[in-house]
Order: sequence, then structure tokens, then C-alpha cells
Amino acid sequence: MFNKSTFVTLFTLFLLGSLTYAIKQKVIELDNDLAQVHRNIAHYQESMHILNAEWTYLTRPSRLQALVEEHTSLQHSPGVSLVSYEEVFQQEEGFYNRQEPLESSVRLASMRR
Amino acid sequence: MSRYTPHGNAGHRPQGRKYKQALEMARNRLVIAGILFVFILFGVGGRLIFMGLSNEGGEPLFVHDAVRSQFHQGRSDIVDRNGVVLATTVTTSSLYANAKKVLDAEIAAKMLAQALPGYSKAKLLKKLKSNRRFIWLARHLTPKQRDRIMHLGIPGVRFRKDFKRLYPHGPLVSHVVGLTNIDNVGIAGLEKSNEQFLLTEGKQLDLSLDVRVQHAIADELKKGMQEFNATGAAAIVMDLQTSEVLGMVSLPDYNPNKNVKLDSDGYFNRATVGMYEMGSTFKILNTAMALESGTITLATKYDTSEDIKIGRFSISDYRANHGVINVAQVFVHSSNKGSVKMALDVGTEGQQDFMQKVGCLTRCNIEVPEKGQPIIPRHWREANTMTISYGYGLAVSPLHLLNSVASVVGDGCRKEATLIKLKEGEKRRPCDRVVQSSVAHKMRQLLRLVVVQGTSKKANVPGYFVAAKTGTRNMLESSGAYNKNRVSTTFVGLIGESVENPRYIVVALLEDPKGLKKTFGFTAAGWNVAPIGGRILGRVAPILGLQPNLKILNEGFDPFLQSIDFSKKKK
Repeated sequence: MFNKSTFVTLFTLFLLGSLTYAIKQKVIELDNDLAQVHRNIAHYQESMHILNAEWTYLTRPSRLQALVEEHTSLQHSPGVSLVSYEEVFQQEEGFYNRQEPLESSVRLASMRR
Repeated sequence: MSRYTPHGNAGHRPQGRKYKQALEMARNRLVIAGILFVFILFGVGGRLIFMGLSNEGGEPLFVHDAVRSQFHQGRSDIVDRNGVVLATTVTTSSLYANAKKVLDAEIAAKMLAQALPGYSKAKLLKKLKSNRRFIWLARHLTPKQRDRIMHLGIPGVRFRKDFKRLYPHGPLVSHVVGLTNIDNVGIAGLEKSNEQFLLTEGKQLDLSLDVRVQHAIADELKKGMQEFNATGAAAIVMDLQTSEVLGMVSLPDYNPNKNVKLDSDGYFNRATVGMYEMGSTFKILNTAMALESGTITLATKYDTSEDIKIGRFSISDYRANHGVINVAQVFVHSSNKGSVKMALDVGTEGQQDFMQKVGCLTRCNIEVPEKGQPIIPRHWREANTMTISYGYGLAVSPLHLLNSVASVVGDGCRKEATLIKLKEGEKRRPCDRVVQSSVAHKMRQLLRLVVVQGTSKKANVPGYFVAAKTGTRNMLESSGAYNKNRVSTTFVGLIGESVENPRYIVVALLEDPKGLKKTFGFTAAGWNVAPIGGRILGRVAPILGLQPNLKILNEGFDPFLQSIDFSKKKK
């Protein structure tokens, strides 16, 4: 009654069943890992969100101004102190055009020393 | 030996036909049973394979729920034009009770009151004895409070994930952003008007405000309010090219992070709801109207030597009699009489049409829900036309003044201030022309002359083209009469690189400023709100990267205007 082909079939079925079970367990495991990764991402996103709010709170202009007034003698920069990038470049160019002679540079260096 | 003895009759062989029938029946039954078993086997096997392959069952569903769960903050952030957070939502825990499951309400209330300072034991006890299945005990707990209560282990008392709206800048943008109630429903400002967007779009709301500009305005206004002991103040700064509001402040203000009484003075937005007669700043609109109508030119002369009578009242000029002067002098010296004559030349109907065109007769289209309706004369007669020409008899909000003046001094197109940051494509809108660009150019020159020769000298900012006008008006008492000792002062100023290129406009207002020793007791706008407006412009321009122009600032000026003598002697 139980001939050779029956055993082969049963063995194949068992093999396939085990394989399917193993794959399923692996998939569940990966699913869990993925869920954990997503939970971590959400957690980090929330942390970043709170940190961003905290950073905004700490860098609010009124606080920065109070700190500057308390610890430094800086004042608001007037508009006339603004120069364009081109103007900076022109000044730099002028600066390099009037290079001091080598001797005076050496003298200046020795004086500093 | 017999194999089949149905009747127990040994040796008796059944009939051949009956025997065959029985055999046939048995075989049929076996075949049917076999087929049935095969089907069942296939069914069970198939089911097993299917269950193996598919993710059916309790636990995989849980896993997929977790995979889907992403960071959800409940209500989107509101940010300024540079992405600085103005309003955000954080996750908190709130405490609730199932009063039916609380074993001893007295002890529970005592323990909770100890763990939650600020919560009264009596109120907690009342809630715990309410016999309700769900009742909030405390909202938005701090992590420490949560831990403390968790360790108490009171049966029937549980936590629920909750969201809390935070405003990191406190009162700074309160009148624009608004606030939400404890259940995170917008009840004021943009929080209210953008409720659907904030809840459903999942995107942050980008405002046109620049928090640095907002702070500069608030700082200068607060200092000014304190200095002149004013009861209130408001200011708005707008980009003239895009109509984006860069800062809007109303003082006093409120802290949306704390419990706010919605009927308090701080909650009242003076910039959009407060209606004021704007005094001489309305002469900007009056002059632009007359120039646009073609009834006058800058050289048209008016006799301002005699006071103008309306019934038992008379209209005079402030501390001076200028005689016969031209339109430019009328404007620079802020002559009421000259302005009245200009308005009469245009006529009542023309004035009404113009005021309608610049938006002074209807509610503004700004995005905040708190915006007021201008107070216009019930019957607009000639007397009203006369008083409106110098800023009495028609009350508008500072926002109305900003929109209308921006329309006549910018490029001549109608301006509607917006609080939402515009995308690149939205910045160029079709022009709804209010005045010709040549009229707007003339108005800018006249306003510059007010800074150089007139009442706004204290608003000048070295290095920039600043053009401005001030207005002072007596405040109305509840009896309906004007109080000569109390005023509200207004300032409208432009700043830019040159007369051709104005960039930003500011409107500032002080409510009931007092005279000081340094102002010689005067309360006129030129002494109080003009320097405040100038300081705002001076601080805002470098923040916004406006290049100073160290060349001659009256370049491109009408030669006629340059030839006029603006000294205040009677002609």
C-alpha cells in the first residue's frame, strides 16, 4: 500500500512545508525589524521636531538681543555700514595694489615680535 | 469456509446477483469516501499552504500596523518666510479617569493633588466621584508629572496620548498666528482661518513674516510706547513689490502659551481691527486723488489765508497761516485748508469712488479672521468730503492705510497685503490700476520732501531714500466729542534705494502718547511716532539686505519741486 512514490511524496510535502514555515518565520522577523526601524524613525522625527522647537525658543530674537545687550557692547548695525560684494572686492583689489615694500613688512614683523 | 455470511447461515452461498449488487455498492461507497477524503486532504493541505504563504493571523496585522505608524504631530507647523517655527505641536500625556473603576476617590484625589501642584483636591474629588466612564483630570502633563502619577498606581486613572500647541516666540507673533484652545482647535488668527489646511494638508504653513523684522518692530514700538506712555501701538511693514507683510505688531499683545482671556485688551488687534481716523496721512490719498483726477498739477495754487467755515465749525491749519501756496507746499506743510480745497475740486462722488478704489470703504482681504469694517459716514455730504480730505470723518485700520497708501505710492497698482509667503509664480499679479505710475512717482517725491523739509525729519535714515508723512488727530470720547488733550498719531514711511525704487512701506500708530520735556510738551506725530517709524525703517532695511545709496538721494526729482521754497513764512 505505501509504495516508494508515497514516501517520496510525503517527504517532499514535509520538506516544502518546513521550507514554507521557515520562510514565513523569516518574513515575520523581517517585518518586526522593519516595524522597529519605522518606530525608531518616528521617534527620531519626534525628537528632531522637539529639538527644532527648543532651538527656536532659545534663538528667539528677543533673547539674543537681551544676551547681546548684557554681555557685549554691540549695537544695531546702521544701513550705511553695508557694502555690496563688488565694493568689498574693489577694496581688496586696492589693498593689494598698494603693496608695501618688503623691507617695511619685515620691519613691521620685527616690531611686533 | 465462507467469506460472506450475511445471514449467519454457514454453508449457504448468497445469490449471485445480490452478491454482486452488494459488492458494487460497497465499492461505490469506498470510491465516494475516497474522493471525499482526497478533497478534504486537498482542502486542508491547500489551506495550510495558503496560511503558510499569506500573512493571515493576529500577529502579522500588528506588525503591519507598526510599519504604517509614522510620526504624526496632529497639526502642521506654522513657519516664517525663512522656515523659523512660529507654531508647532508636541506630543504630551493627559490624565483621565474611569470613575466607575476608582476604588477610593478620597485617597485617589489626595494622592493626585500632591502629585499635581496647582490642581485642587476638591475639583479632582468631584471628578473622581462623577461616576462617569471618561473624564479628563489633567491635560498636557510634563514627563515628570506623568512618572509621578504612574508610580502611584491608582486604579481607574489612566493616561492618553495628547497634543499640545506651542508658540516658541511667545507674544511676538500672537496677533498674526493666533492660538488654539486646549483641544487644538484654532480660535484666533491664522490658526483659526487656516484650520483645514493645518489639519489635512500635512504641510507646514509658510508665512510672509520675517521673525527678525517682527522683533525689530515690536522692540521699537515697545520702547516708544513706554517712552511716550501711550496706551497702545501698532505697526506693519510690507514689501511694496509683492505686498507680502514682513511684520505686523499690535501692542499690548498676549502670550498664546498661557490661558488667554479673549475679551482682554491684549487680544485686540489694533493693526487690523482698530479703526482710527488717520489725520494728515490721509492727505497722501487726497493729493493722489486730485492729481489722478487731473483737477490739479503740482503747481496749482490755493489760498490758505482764510479759515474755512462748515456750519458752526471752522477748518484751520496747525499753528501757521501759509497764504497762497502750491500743491507741493500744501502737502509738505500739511495744510488742512489746501487739502479741503483740493477735495472740493474733485467732488464728493469722485472722493467716494477713489476711496472705494483704494479699499478704504470695505474690509481688507488679509488672511486673519480679525479684521474690521471701516466706519464711513452714513450720509456722505460735502462737509464729510472736506473733513475726510485731512483725515477726519472716515475711520480705517492701519492695514487699510497701508494698503491704500502702498497703492498710490508704489507702482500705482492696487495693493492687498498678504500674510502668506508667495511662490515665485505668484509674485507678479495682474495690475489693478489705481493711479498712473507718474502720479505715484510724484507722490514719492512729495513724501521725500516731507522728510527733508516737513514734519517727518526725525524719520530720516542716513544712506537710504526715506519718504514719509505723519498724521495727528484728536481722539473721540464716548460722548462723541473730540478730546483736545488726547491724540492718536500715525506715520507712513517708505524706504528704498531711490525715488524710482521704493522697497518697503511701514505704517506705525501710537494711541494716546503723552507730551514730554524733550518734545516741549507736544504730542504731534512728528515728535513721537515719526522717530519710532524711522527707527523701525533703519533697523529693518539692513536685516532685509537693502543696499544703502550714498549718492544724492534727490536724483530724478522734478526740477519744479527742487525750485520751491518750503520755508514756513507767509507768502
